[in-house]
Amino acid sequence: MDVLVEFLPFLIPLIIIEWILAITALIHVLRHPHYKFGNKSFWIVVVLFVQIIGPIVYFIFGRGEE
Amino acid sequence: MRAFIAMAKKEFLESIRTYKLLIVATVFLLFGMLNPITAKIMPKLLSSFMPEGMAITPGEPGTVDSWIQFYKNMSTQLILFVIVFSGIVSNELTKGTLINMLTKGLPRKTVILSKFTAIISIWTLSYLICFVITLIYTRYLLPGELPNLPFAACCMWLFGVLEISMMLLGGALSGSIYGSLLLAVGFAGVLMLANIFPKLEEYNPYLLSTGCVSLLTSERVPSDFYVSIIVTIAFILLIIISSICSFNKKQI
Repeated sequence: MDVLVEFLPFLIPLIIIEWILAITALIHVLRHPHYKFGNKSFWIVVVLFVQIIGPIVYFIFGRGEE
Repeated sequence: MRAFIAMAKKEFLESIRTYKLLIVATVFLLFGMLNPITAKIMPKLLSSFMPEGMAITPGEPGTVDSWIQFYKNMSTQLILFVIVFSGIVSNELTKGTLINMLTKGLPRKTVILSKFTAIISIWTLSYLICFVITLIYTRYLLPGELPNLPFAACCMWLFGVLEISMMLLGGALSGSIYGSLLLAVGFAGVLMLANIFPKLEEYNPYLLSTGCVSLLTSERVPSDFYVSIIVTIAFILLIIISSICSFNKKQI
């Protein structure tokens, strides 16, 4: 636990970036309801609960064509 | 020249609007922060996860550990970069968005050269983000002086340029995402295999990615890399010329 507290100032920017990525992806999921595969609820879960990798996978593989 | 600038601008806009720039920049930023933190935290984590009675005394982490992490993670980041941008040529071919511009008189070599310029600028930018963030965090968390730091970074960067241009050639040759990925990965595999022969090591571009850490620990000196750098630059020029040639012959 001490280690965690010691590194908190360095972990906060990481967490902020993770959430920026997740929220950008979430907005995109909600606004563009066409995906290469999967449906809306599936992508919301992936984007919000699989940190970092979820949004990246969504933007690379899941994002549908306009 | 105007066509070139317009096309390069279009590539940048495309990478912003398709969120590619966002993904690459955030991942490089995240890794930049994680490199020094992992190096610093790893010995503590190891000792706290060890079972009772098992005594292992990891050495105190130093500046070089952070940079070992940097070069180790950079190969992962390069793979991600190649995957994200693998469709840069083939997507336009499959969608047929280039036909209008090419029939209006846009030279084909402009297409390839502008794509190359745009993608290399994005690579340089994201590499710079990762490097600077790692540098700042390392200065703070694990202070110390290392030799040849900028030179080693340039070596890894050049290797990235080589892989990215190979990906571009794959797109121009095959016209599909899988072609670009296969050629980039296959080329890295060939270089890795060629590394088995000690005589070839000096000429192999692969040295640029694996030898960076030995530069920092002074096992190697920059002059060991000159031959490999020249070979790499020659490769890059050859790849660009051949992708222009193959794109000229491509049916669109």
